[in-house]
Amino acid sequence: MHEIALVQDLMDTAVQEVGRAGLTGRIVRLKLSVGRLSCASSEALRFAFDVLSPGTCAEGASLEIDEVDGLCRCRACGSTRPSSDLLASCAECGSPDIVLEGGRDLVLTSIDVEDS
Amino acid sequence: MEIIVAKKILNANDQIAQANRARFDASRVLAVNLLGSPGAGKTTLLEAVLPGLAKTRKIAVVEGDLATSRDAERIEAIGVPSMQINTAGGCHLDANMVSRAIGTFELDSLDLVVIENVGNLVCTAGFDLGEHLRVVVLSVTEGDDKIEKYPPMFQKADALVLSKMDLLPHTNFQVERMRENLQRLSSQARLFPLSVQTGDGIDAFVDWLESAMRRDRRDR
Repeated sequence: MHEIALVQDLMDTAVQEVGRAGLTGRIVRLKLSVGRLSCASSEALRFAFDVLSPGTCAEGASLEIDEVDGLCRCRACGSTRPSSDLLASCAECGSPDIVLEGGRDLVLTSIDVEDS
Repeated sequence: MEIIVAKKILNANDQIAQANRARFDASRVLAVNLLGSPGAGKTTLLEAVLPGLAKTRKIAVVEGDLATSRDAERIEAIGVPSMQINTAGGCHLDANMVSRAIGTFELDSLDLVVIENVGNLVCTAGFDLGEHLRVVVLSVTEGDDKIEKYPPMFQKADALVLSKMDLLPHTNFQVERMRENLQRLSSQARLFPLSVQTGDGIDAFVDWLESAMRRDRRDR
């Protein structure tokens, strides 16, 4: 539901960054890294982008989404591995005492701007 | 031409949340974000615990709902000042809404601000409001599988209030199953099974809030 607000924020940030770089061309590609624990759905982000981008300098741009896991750290044996399963046990020693770090962020990683 | 950005989206919310937290800290106010499904019993819990707390503590409540000022009126009716935010369709409160709402309070004169979020087990989990403590209310009638089905909501909880315990015999809710899942997900979270109808368990929750307020004052 709140993906609309997230994509608005994403587009505002993109326009700001293009201006800061002193560029004037159209945005042709946005790369986004989406944590699997961010509570944002890639499908809903794409839908929101299709709704919000027409009429802006990002109209027709491709949205590349890279979904990333968090890091699961076992407090019993110290092993780490990528995971987004909040209720998993440690794959090494089976302990349920795990901490899941990261995987919560939504990051605009890069913007491709058409050469003008 | 490619511009490398690496900018966090939602950063704006996080910055305002930090500013809210700094305002609470400067005024030595404990801020609690109260979360849970619609009908879990969030407002009813406040009606049960705030009158007692208000005898010795100055409290204000921020109420978030899509529409109506019904909850704010319920809180005003027990003599606690409240501010209603209508999100007009928005599924969560964000830090900016809370920032505007607390601007209407005299923060320096308060001990506790409770922010009752929009009833929602999903979206509200992702937005820091600047609170010190997250309290999630889950009623036994919602089922004991909610932690497994909506883990982000419970992962950052400091306390889980298990409400409507008087109805437990009429449900298949297994408290132990839920307790184990909570332990795995959020080992620091305190569990408070209670019933507003019978009054059972209310005191333990009030004591926890009281000690959080005392700790809060010592730390600053």
